[in-house]
Amino acid sequence: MSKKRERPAGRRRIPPTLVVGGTILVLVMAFALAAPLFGNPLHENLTNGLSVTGMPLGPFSKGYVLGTDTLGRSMLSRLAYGARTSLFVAFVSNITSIGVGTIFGLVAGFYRGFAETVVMRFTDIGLALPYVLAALVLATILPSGITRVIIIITALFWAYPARLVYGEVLRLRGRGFVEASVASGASGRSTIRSHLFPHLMPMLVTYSPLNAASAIFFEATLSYLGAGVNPPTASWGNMISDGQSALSIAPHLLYEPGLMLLVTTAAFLLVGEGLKVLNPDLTRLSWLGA
Amino acid sequence: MSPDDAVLSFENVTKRFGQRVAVDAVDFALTRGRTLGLVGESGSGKTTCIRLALGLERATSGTVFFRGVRLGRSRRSLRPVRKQLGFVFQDPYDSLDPRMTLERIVGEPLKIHGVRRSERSERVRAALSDVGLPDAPLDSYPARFSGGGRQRIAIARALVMQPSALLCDEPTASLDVSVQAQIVNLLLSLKQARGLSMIFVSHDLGLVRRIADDIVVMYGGRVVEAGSAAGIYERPRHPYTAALLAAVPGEHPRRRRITSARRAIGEASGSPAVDSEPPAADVTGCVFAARCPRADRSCRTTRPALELLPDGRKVACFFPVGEEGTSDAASGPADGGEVVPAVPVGPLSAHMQGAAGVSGGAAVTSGVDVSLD
Repeated sequence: MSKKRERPAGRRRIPPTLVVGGTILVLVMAFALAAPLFGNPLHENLTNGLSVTGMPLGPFSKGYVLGTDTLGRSMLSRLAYGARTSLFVAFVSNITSIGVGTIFGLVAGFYRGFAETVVMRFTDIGLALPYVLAALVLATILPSGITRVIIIITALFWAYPARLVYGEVLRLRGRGFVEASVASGASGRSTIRSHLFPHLMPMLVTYSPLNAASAIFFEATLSYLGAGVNPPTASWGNMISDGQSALSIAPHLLYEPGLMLLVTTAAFLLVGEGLKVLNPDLTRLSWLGA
Repeated sequence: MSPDDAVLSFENVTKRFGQRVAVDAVDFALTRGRTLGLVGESGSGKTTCIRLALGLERATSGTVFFRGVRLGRSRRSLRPVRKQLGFVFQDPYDSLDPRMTLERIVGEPLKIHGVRRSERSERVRAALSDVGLPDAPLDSYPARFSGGGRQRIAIARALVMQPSALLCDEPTASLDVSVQAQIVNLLLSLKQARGLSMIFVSHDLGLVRRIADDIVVMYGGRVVEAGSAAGIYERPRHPYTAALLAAVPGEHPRRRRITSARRAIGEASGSPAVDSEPPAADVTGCVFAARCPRADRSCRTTRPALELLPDGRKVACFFPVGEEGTSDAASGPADGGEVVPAVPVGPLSAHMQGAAGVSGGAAVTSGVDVSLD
């Protein structure tokens, strides 16, 4: 692309955080995609999947590399399907929450006036909400399922990107090229599309892995609390919840999904940090808002 | 000037920002085919006038007319006007989108006003050759160009719609001095070639002198003096204009003596030191009274209106320079010679101490202390 040609060669080195985080994410994605290869996550093998005393099988058991859970289901398969859940939630809620936030931030920052007052007050409220409590309240009024998780995450996660976009738009709209576009007679939409949006992209791209990390974490929290993905569908969150009760007899039920969650979240954060290095003016972005 | 000759006219236009008045009951008009120099120090409201004309700000009261048509408030009603109004902003590093190619930057007005894509590149190319960039690759980014080159691109964008008027907001202020002249020459030749009407905002009176036919001097959001450029340069009537002109460094060694004399008087009659905050809305009397040596009590209580003098000049001053009947050497039309003292000294006497710190032949400071008796 001609855009790349303009950049001085060799100025930007790919930061190691981006390489490490990206590699881990690719592995997790491959794991999720390969899920059907690891068997049926819902199959309760009560004969071979449990020990003679009816206990879950530990890791490296015959036929079950990562062991089984209390119902004799393959942990490997459940973790892989759990990865699908997590990545799906991260992907979709990332688009919806950042999308909603961007639209609100753009409207408030570009059109100002009444829209600005209304949108930014809602943003303040959105940022001030106690997330878990608000999520549980929302969970009681929405029909259950993975859509509910995405709606809850969107409802709670749009405010921070809205604030980010709003601030950036306020800065941009005073720039000469934006005013030039307006003074030439461009519609608000066309100014936003051709001048504001391209300048917002680096920020949004840098923010999205941070947002994804939060979303995955929050999905796990919701599922752990029983307000997220419904059993028997596998989610790292409800697996952790299940594992908790069997902690003394089968600790792998807890640490396997816990480790997956930790590694995946960390990988997203590493990617986010790496992208921040590529855009030094974005270092103010931080994980989980604040 | 007859009203139908006016391309762009401001009628009693006021713009307030909260408690501050940026533009205060301003009246002036740009005549067809002429160049209007809008001068004044920072905060005098020059740029706000341009922004009002471009619809980037809305007047608190008063009306801006474009060819007799009142500038509306809605974007739809402004569209046909914006097609006819080209503009060049001060900072070419800010006014060109760094993420757009030349073709998209210069072609943006064409796109906005519905020119077909197939026609656009050709017109962009033509506009770029008009501003002296015939070989600039259309797919390059502004980062590749220097300040002067960028300003040429901005001018190409301003002209690509073939506007009838061009509004230039300090188009040379952020450029190197060597490049300033090129840009001014470019604007001059474009104006002549196309019969453009132009408003040229600047605080650089040397430049304005080269380009303007008419001058409007603003101070504190008000028009304090307006008239033909030749007349104002030869014989400023408002004390502020006189002070402003006196602050212009001499252009030619032979003029230097006169200029320094002017400067002394200029400093005495209200130094045009920057006072960039616009005055509060509740200032009564003349906006310049606080810095004007000629002001008396009436100047502080009553606001002088912009009045037409017999020679066609408009001045908002109770005590215009050169009307006391004292040593008024410059009265009457300028008699050809450049070297005419523009400001009579009158009864003032100035004591100067510690004048002019000069180092290595270059005048760095002119730390002139002046006291008035």
